[in-house]
Amino acid sequence: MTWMRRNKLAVAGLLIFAAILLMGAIAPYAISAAVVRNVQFANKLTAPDGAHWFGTDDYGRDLFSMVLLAANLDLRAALSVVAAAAAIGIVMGALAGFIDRLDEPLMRVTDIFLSIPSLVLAMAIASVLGRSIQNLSIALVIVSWPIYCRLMRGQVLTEKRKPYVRALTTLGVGHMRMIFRHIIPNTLAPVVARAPADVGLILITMAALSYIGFGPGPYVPEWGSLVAAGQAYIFQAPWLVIFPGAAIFLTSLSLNLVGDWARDAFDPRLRT
Amino acid sequence: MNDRPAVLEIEGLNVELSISGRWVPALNQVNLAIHRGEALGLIGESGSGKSLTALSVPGLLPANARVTGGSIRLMGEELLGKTEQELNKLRSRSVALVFQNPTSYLNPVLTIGQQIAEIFEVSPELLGPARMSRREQRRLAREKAVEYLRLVKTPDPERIVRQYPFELSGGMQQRTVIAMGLVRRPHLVIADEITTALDVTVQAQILALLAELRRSIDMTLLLITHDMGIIAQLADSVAVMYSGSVIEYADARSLFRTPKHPYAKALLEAVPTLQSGDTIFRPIPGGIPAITDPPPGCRYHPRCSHAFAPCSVTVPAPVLPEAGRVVACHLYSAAS
Amino acid sequence: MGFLAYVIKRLLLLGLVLLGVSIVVFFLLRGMPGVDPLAAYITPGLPISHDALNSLRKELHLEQPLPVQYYFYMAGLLHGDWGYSRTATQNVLPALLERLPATIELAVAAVLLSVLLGVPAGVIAALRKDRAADLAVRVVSITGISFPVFWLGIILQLVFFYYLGQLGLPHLPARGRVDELVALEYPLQPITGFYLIDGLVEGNMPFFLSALAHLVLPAFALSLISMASVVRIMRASMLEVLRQDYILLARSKGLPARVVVIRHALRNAITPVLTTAGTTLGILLGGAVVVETVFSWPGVGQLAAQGILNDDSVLVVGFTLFVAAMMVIVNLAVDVLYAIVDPRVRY
Repeated sequence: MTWMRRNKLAVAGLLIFAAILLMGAIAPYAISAAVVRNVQFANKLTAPDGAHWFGTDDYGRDLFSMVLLAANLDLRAALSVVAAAAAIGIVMGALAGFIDRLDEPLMRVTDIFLSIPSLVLAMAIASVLGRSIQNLSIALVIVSWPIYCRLMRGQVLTEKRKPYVRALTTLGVGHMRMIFRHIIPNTLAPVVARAPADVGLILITMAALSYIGFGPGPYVPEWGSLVAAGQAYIFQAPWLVIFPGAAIFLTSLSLNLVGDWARDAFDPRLRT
Repeated sequence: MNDRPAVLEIEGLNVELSISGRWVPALNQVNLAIHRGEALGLIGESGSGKSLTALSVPGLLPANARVTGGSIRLMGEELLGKTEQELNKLRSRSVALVFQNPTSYLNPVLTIGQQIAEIFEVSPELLGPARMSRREQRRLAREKAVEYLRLVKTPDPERIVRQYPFELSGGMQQRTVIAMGLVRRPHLVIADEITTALDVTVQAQILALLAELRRSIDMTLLLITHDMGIIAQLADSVAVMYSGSVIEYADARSLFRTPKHPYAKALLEAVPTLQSGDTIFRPIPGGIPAITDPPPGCRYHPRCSHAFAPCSVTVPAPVLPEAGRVVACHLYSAAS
Repeated sequence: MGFLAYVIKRLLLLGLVLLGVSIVVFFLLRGMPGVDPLAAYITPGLPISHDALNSLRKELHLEQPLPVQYYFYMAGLLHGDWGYSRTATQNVLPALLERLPATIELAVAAVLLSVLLGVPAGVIAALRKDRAADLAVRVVSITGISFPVFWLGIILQLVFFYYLGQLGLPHLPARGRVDELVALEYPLQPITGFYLIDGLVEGNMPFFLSALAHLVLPAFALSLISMASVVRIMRASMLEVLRQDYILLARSKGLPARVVVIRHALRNAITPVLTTAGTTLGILLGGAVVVETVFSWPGVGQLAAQGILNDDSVLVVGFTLFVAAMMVIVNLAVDVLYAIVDPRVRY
């Protein structure tokens, strides 16, 4: 419990994220999907008040509901992207680290991917695949796995020199079993420690790309496209831009607080 | 000890260290004196407090250490209680420290010349009484650096001055650090294990250099080491430290002939010599006590073959069994 | 080994990476399963004849097997033909080069800002470790990276342009590189394409000042991305260096604290910051796409964003290659800088 007191920031971050996650999870059940199509021009662009906590948008829809529904979409997308990228990266990295013949080619491949800024590459892939959240997610997975691969490879390289690996080899344990049963579980910690901060990053990247124009149309709520839509009315109705953006900021902040703690806790080299 | 004035006097120095949040005594009533032109050897095992004593003179104790009592006087001037600025002046003029591992004590991205010349920035009076331009200053600083590198017998000093530390061998690096110390013409040179990291032949050269410097510039030296051989070669007098206190003090010859404190005796016996024809090693049983949990009374008593009743009760106060010798052991206390 | 050999070695390595990038990019353009390479050339709604399509197909060598196509593609790249972008209504490479100075000006300003603000913050945090200043710096930097850059840009516009303007206070401009009226009244002869440099060189103060004012908000928004890493790395590096023995020796020479920190500690501690400057440039270029869109900054990022909206994959993919090439150049420059600062690297 003293651990909790000393890492107040991380605990705060965890609580905030949990709250947002909860709201996003129950949103599709608590809020009728019809809200999105409930166009009421008479009500449009009203400031936040008792009835509409976040105000209404240019279609007269309740912004609060839109933001919550968007939470569902964004969080699901970001979490699945990081999960997929981490899974792919971890496996590839373990293979690269353990099997020497695979190491060099895999490293060249990750070099190439890592030499292009993630946003730009994601843009290129998504523009070729077509504009949609699914394609965007695919693009982001392709862009994110190399880092996990690199990290895992580094870990595995040091791990495979350890005595227990040699012992298991002499006992006749095969490569695949060694990698999946023994090495990966032992080296997972620092790699997974990246994940929370990464979710925040992917979230922002996704919102940014959707802001630029990859987003779904006005009938699928997504934080980035909400901001984009609201920008046209920024001076008359700043709440349209402030609230969705604040949602992204808050989620990302809470994830970064947790991620900061996770990174320090699991990676002794970074400890100051 | 000689008849000349005292350069360094440490009296009753107490220093505490902060370990896991608690302050524990690390140095207890340390007493030392060095006179002009003298070489005092400070000997003891690792952890006896030798380096702490050395660092407390120029006020360079680490952040987790604090002085809780006593007095340190340099040329009669009290050092404890001085401001950082005053101490800086002191460090750049009066006291020179030379450390153990020259490679890690030289800044890798500055040339040798730059690192020596820095001292003149703080104390430009070392270059001469006249006021001079920056260019003049830099030129003179360069010359002085070369001059002192020559003094410490560095081959080809003009070239060395322009090189980086990693381009020099261990022995040359150590000479550089010694030169850096001497440039300020200090009253006292403190050498902390300066040959421990060097190989034996280089060690011999450095020791010979120190011996010659003593002769040529009348250097006053506090020589800290755990190696009895070095003490025998260079020191005029010896202070033996154990677990934070000085337990014996004598001139070198007397100590080697007739050590009084059981620890000092055991130390000398533990060193095998070619003459003794020994095939048995005689290490001292046990280990030095942890400073967080020291034994009561005399800290050496658990390992001492002469321990008796008062040893586990009271800390022995230093006494003078004969002229010029000090021992802190109940065997010599007036009471027993 | 010497300085020159080191540079050449790095150049070769980076060239190989660039080659790899070109393969990936080519694959995106021509090799994606289920995607018709001609789609990028067709403007929806604008009819295009079969003949035009056929001649296009011939031009792009689409009948040939992929490796052959790659050969022609590479030949084209090296000759400066990066394809035609219907968004820019010109070839990709000249379009990008034209807009490059604007983006560079923005990126450089952002990097300078993040270093100028980040390095002192990191140093202070290290010197006052675990005390109030340290905690404050860390909190501020975590908050900094949590901001979605596009949102921050919009909020900055809202506060510094709109609200300040409403209150009648002097405000910062929110769009473009320079005020149009000023540009008309005090026209600038473009020499380098960098408005700040050209403005100073020609003594055109109104233009210079206007350009500077326009640079503030977008550069600040962009700088936040890298500032947090600069602070964290500076702090960690500084703490590591301060523990070193040579710092103790420097202090034992009686050098004042300021000299010890700057000449001894900082010079050793700053090298990791320099290397991350190279890598953060990549993230900055990505962020530039967003920032340029928000602030209507006429750089390469804005063009790329327009290309996305237009489904102009030739442009977007060309932009990707362009960015990769720029990063390679910057990484090389950083390596060279590293070798200058730390003499050990050259040998």
